[in-house]
This record gives sequence, structure tokens and C-alpha cells, in this order.
Amino acid sequence: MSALQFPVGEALTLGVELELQILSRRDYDLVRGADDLLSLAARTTHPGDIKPEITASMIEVSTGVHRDHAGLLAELRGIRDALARMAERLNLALAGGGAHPFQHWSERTIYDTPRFRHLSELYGYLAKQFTVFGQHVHVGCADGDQAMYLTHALARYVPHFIALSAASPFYQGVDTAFDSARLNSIAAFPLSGRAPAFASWAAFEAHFAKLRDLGLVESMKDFYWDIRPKPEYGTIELRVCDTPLTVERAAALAVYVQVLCRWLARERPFEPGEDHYLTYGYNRFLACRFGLEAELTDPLSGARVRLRDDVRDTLRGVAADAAALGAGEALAEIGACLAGGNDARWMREFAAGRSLADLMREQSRRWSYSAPA
Amino acid sequence: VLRALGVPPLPATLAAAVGLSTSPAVVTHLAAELRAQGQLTERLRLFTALNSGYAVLALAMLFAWLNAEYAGDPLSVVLHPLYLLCASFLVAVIATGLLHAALRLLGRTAQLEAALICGCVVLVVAVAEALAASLLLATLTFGALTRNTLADARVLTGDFGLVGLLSNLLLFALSGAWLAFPDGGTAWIAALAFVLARLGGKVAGAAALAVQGGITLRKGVLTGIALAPMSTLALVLVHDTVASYPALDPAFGATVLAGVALMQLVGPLLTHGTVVAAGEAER
Repeated sequence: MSALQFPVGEALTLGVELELQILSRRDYDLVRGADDLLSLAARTTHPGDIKPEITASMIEVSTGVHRDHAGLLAELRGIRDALARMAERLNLALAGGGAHPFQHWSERTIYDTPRFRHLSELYGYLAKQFTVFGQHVHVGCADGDQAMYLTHALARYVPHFIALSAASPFYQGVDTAFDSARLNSIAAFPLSGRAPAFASWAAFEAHFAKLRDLGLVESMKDFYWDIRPKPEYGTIELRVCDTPLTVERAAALAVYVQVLCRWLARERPFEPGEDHYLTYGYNRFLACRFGLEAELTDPLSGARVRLRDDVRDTLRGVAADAAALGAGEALAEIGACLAGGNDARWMREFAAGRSLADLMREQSRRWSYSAPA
Repeated sequence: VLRALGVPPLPATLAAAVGLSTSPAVVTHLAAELRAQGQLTERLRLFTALNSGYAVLALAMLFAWLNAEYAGDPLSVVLHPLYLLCASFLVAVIATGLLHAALRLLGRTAQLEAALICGCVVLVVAVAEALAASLLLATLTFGALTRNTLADARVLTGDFGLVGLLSNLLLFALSGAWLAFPDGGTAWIAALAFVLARLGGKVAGAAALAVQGGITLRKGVLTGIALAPMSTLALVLVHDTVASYPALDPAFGATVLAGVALMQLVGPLLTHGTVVAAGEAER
């Protein structure tokens, strides 16, 4: 069996991973709390999975496999509540958000596992700068070919997810003018950005085998692409979202991916190729920089459209799929984000006239107490 | 333990009260030097603050016993400790009120806040001294009130840079010079027993709270050991007590001072070792 064989599985299942910030309650800076938190989690009954991340001030939580919004949101709230209780016992705070606003990357410590040590040796200071916090959404695919189609078709909507989730306007103590500064930290990695356009799983397997023979990659984990197939799980994984400030927003974003995938797989509205990627990099930059106010360029027609309007049009187009998946509440949350602004906007408004430590304290409150399970 | 070694009850109890304290200067300096972070470090800071507060309070309470023993005036037995508590608390409350009023009047910036806090500390010390209240109790109360009543998350940094390092060295040298080493082996045996009993108590206390508090038993034991340092604070407590009651049994001063001498040398090493063993020093 090939290492990259894509299992035949249930399409449109859903799973979420969230990277969270571990904060000191004294000054709301990042703190090396992962070890103590993981040690306590290992001795406590809790839903979901809790794992270390590359530096000791980060922690990653992940859900099981879900089919709809209600189940996903219930588990995310359960994980959030369990973790909040553990953090409180240890006098730590947890928060969402794509980047800590005033931490200094040089003060971070690599979490001590063989893989993270290897990454630190390979990437040098980039590894510590990787202390940014993202949401990854997994959507189940029927087979490898469908995974390749969805990987490339979904790329058209990457700016939507960047702008809707954007929650990293401050970095290293300054306002970056970006809504999502987090993705700039990932761009430095050699295997980041978009996946090369292959139409079939067999073609992608051959590409992977070549890179592996050249010694550049060992597994799919070595690709930091915005969207990557994940054959171990039988999913594609969207990785561009900042971790939102609440689990409610995180669940809504995941369900928006699911609804889009259903529509794309069912309608196959276009066959993606290299031409579709002509404006990918620039549109992606605009979404990071201007959020929902970005003006996107269609690579084929050259038409320009406001990102906010493009999301609205898309939501109307997928209404039938949303109804079939019971996604009404989730897409209402997306609509609320369009109307009220993304997390980056809220963060800027809150921080005006206050300290960034105050902002982090409020972010941790929003994370822990947004709505009890 | 001290009673078993023949130390009378009052000096033994006073020594136990002083022994509650852990040196804040040594703990703060070591945590900054090792850039330590984690549950042991957090609890070390917290217990150091709490235990030092308890030590000051316990001694203030024991002044009742001292008054009963040496002053003979039944009224002062109750009134002196009560005066110490109330006057110190009042000075701290007034200083906190002044700080808030000044901040409201002048607007808040980080530098101004730091300068005003320093000014208020000087004020608290001066007024407490003038009123013959407890300096330590007044400053501790002022610190706690300020930390908990300032509405936002701004705090003074725990890293005081080169000036902090030099002050710590100076403090170490001064407190070393202050120590009068007792003659004869008995005081040293009592001091060693005092130090070991104190360490046992700290380890037992921290370990008992460990699992309930969400950390492992090992980390609890290490936290107890890390609380070993005794230094200037203990010396000041002894000095204040002896100065107020010159007739006090010299066993108290001799035992505690010899204990402080031991812990001034060994304590920082124990704290350093435990922080490293817990994996909380920056790698």
C-alpha cells in the first residue's frame, strides 16, 4: 500500500483544530504553560484531543469527526469549558486570536519533542516566529480525486476565510495595518502557499514521490500549504484561518467550508487549473491586508468585486446546500461577521485608548466565557 | 523541634513565625535570572508573598505574648498588636487612595504610574515609621491593595536590570555583614534543626496542596524546597523584634540568625536547583 493512498470514505464530515494562546494572568503576555496544562489534561477527563504545538506557549485542541454544526459546536464548547477550568486551576489564561499582540518571538521556547527540535534545527529563528495561532478545518472527501478537485476549487474562496477569521492586527507591539498578520509569518516557509495544480490523486502521488526521493519531504506534514490533502484522515485541510476569538465563530467558519465543499462537489462549477491561480497570491495578500474591505480580482474575467459582496453572493448561491446540511445558524454567524466586522476590527476598536495587555485580558474573557456549553 | 532542643516556648514560637517567611529578593532575582516560567515558579512567587505576609502578621500577633511577658501591662497585650495592624493598614489604605487620586488628576501613563507608586512607597515607609507602625505590614498591604485596585493589566516589570542586580548584591553583602555568628555548637545545632524543620514544613505544605492545585506531587515537593531562601526580610523581622524587646531571650536571635546564615548560602542553590529540575528555567 502506498504511503499516500487516499482512503475511500464518507464525504463532507467535519473536524476542527484550534491553536490557542497560553497567557500569564499577571501581565497577559505569552507564558510557557503548555507542559503544566498538558500534564493536568492527561489526568483529567475532557472531550476532544489536546496536544502540544511548536513553542511552549501554545496548545492545540482538536475535535472528533462531525457531520453537522450542532455536534461540532457542542464539542468545541465542551473542550473550551474543560480547558478553561484547567487553566483557572493553574492560574493561566487562554485566548483565541491569530497572533499575540506584544510578545517577543525571541523569548519563545521550542516545545521539547523530537519533531519540534528537528523543525527548530532546520528552520532556525523561523520556528520561534511560528508562534502564531490558526484554525484548521478538515472536510471528508469521498476519494483522492475528489480531494484534489476540492483542494484547488476551494482555493478560489481562500480570501473569504482569511478575511472572516482575521484576528491578528497587532504583532510585536505594533498595529501592522493588516487584518491578518499571522499569514506573513507562514509565508517564509519554503513549502507554504498554494498546492501545485494536479487534477488527479495519481498525479499528486507521483509529485509527492519525487519530492520524497529528493529528500525534501517525508510526509504531508512537511507541506505548509493553505489547503492540503490529508490522506491519513481522508480529508482536505484548510489552514488559512486565524484562530477566532470565540468557538462559535470557529464552528461557523468550519461549517461554511463544509457547505462550500458540498456545493463545489455537487455542481463542479469550474475545473481549476493554473489560470485560476493567476491572482491567487495577490487576492490572498489583499484579504490579509484589508479584510472584508479588500477588492478581489477574478483571474479569468478580470472583474473586481468587494470581498464582503463576494461572500454575500456566495452565501446566496449555496443556500440549498446550507439547508441540506442544517447550517442555517452557522451561516447566520457568518452574516453577523459581514455586518458587524471581523475580530480584527473589534480588536482595533477595543485597543484604542487601552493597553495591549488589556486587549489580551478581554480576549481571554471572550474565549472562556462567550457562551457556556 | 526547638522546644525539644531546650529553647523556651516564646523564642521558639517567634522563630517559627519568622521561619514562615521566604526571601522575596532572592526568589524574584533567581526567577528573573533563570527567566523561569511555569507552575513551580508561579507558586514560588505566590507562596513567597503569602508566607512573608503571614510571617509579618504572625509576629505582630505574637507581640501580644511579648507584651504579656515583658511589659506586664495587660492593656498593651491587646492594644499594641491591634494598633500595629490598624495603623499599618490605615497608612496603606490612605496611600492607595492618594495614588488613585493622583492618577485620576494627572492621567495614566506607564512611567507616571511607576513614579507615583515609588513615591507612595516612600510615603508609606515615612508615615509608618513616624507612627511606629509596622513598616513591613504597611508596605505589604499597600502592594496588595495597589495590585488589586488598579483596574487594568498594567504591572511593573519584575526584571529590574543591572540596578536590580547591584541592589541584590549589596543587600546580600549588607545582610551578611549584619549577621552576628553565635559562639558554640549549641546555637548551630538549634539553627540546623530550625532550618530543617522549616524546610520540612514548607515541603509538606506545598506537597499537600499540589495535586488538588492541579500539579504533580513531584512539582509540589520541588516547590516546597524552592521556598528555602531566608534573607533580609527575616533579618529585619528579627531586628525589629529584638530592638522592641531587648530583654528577649537571646536564644531567639541566635537561632534565627544562624539559620538565616545557613539559608543565605544554601537557599538560593536549592531554589536554583529545583527550578532547573522542574524544567522551568529557560533552555
